Amino acid sequence: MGAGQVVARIFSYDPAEGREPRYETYEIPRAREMRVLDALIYVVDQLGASLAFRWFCGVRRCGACGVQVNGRPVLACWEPAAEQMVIEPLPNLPIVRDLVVDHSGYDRVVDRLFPYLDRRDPYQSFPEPLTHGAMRIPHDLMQCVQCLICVAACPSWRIDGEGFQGPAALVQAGRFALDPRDALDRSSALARGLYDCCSCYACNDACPMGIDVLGHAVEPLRAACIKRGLGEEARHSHAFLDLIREAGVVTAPSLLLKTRRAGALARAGEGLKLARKGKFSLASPISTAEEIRKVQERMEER
Amino acid sequence: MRFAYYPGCVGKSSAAEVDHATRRLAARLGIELVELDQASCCGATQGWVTDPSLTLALNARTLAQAEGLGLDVLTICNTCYLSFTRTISRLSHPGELARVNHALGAIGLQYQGRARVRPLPAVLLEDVGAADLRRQTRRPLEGLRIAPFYGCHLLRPAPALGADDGRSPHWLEDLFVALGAEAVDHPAKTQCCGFHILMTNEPLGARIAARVLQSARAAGAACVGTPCTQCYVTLDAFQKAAERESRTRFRLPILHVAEVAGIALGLSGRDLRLSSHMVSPRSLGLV
Repeated sequence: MGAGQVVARIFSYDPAEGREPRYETYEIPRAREMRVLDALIYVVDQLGASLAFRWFCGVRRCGACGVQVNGRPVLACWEPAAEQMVIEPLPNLPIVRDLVVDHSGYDRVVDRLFPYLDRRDPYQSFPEPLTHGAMRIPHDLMQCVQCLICVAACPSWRIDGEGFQGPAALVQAGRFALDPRDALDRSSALARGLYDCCSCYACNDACPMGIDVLGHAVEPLRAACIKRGLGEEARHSHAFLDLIREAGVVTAPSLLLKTRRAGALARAGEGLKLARKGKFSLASPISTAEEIRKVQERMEER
Repeated sequence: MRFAYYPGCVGKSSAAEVDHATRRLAARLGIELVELDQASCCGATQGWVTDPSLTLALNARTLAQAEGLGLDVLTICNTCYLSFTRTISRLSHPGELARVNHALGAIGLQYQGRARVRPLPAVLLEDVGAADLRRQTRRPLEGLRIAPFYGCHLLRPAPALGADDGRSPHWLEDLFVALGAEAVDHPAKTQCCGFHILMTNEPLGARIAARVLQSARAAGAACVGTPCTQCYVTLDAFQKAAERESRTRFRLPILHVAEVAGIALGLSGRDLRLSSHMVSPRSLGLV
């Protein structure tokens, strides 16, 4: 590489100006090992463009330079420049100006999840008696640089922060809640939105730090809330497992009846439409369902 | 070709027509399916958070049943595929394997780690092969503008097929093109359909589904093709809910890969039970 050009179409918008967002096209000489960040810096320093973007460390540590490149949320400092790039602000977040997005909604969500270690026992001295095994998950979550790229990739996240907390906030909550030294029960604060994660792994795929967001934050936190029976999803999940234990199979009508109980009647009209197409049938239980009980008993032995 | 067939809970109930189409397609291709009729639910997403150890053991039981037949497992649901690969990966740990095999001992089974799990499109593309599919096509889908929709779990957390990293897959396009159709690219093709939250937050699930339908519609697709029974149910049976949430009329027929291939290979609409769809594919004029 080295020779040639990079053509970047960059999103330009200032809400204070009151005009429609637009895209400006810049031609940038391609440099060796050029990153998206280098292209942005060139546009401002060499081409004299007025362009707002954030960056600080340039080495995937500060989490400031998240942008969307050709439809994919990335860290500008960690993404090779493509020959043709459309560079936009991270989606799912309010725009401050050009490529700068507002993180304050996220900050408010994190604040409500008690992002600190509430110690079970007072700190004694260094080193603390911790094992690698016990710290494996919190340690993965500590790699988070709060760039909000997972939030930009998340289909369930809503800017208002009222429902689902979003993957990044759950990583911050999990970092403390899953630490063996922590004693604070965050489950009621978590259960309000936690269940809206649709398990799509878009957060894992997008995370520039390679954090297992779903496996190490969302699922363990969700497991804790379900164990405590918090929220409708807990009833749903327990009903789901009960059906597996009883019949081996789970079908929509049986699950709906168990989860929503009388509430299921409210949906009878829609159920009927589906039933007419054969879509609302109860599958017959497997004939060896008693094997499930035997397996479960043995799994619980040790 | 023989497979231990795992239709999954959705294939046994809400998407029974896809299960039926898969059996007819397999017969048409000379693939023998031995149904794992004593297998239990894969646990989907709930099993792994609510009772992970039972989920692990029951999936090992299903895989051991397939191993008993000396066969690999064929799935038509992305989440079943993920749940089994998750099981296989967990059981590569000797401690977990010993614990699970101790439990399976109670019912006279042992998990050996031999069975592989294959999603239907992998069997069609890798085992049957695009050239052979093309050769067997009786009703090429010429002029059919189909929007591929991958769903999540054949791409993430690890790609099930294709050489890329799962971010820009093209195997579904390859499959549809081999069957004579025109694959329409659209931005939401690798996104989530919303299935896993439909039961607890239907409005949000339906809004997520609407984004997919919107994306396919804007690209000028006549229908959507997916490898997953859950995506199929969400986009077809919950399309009304998606229309309500987005205040948009889609009326987009949704076809499972088994149905797309079945149509191209000459099976009739009756053979495929296409009348079971909530959004009728009749408008496509295929069968």
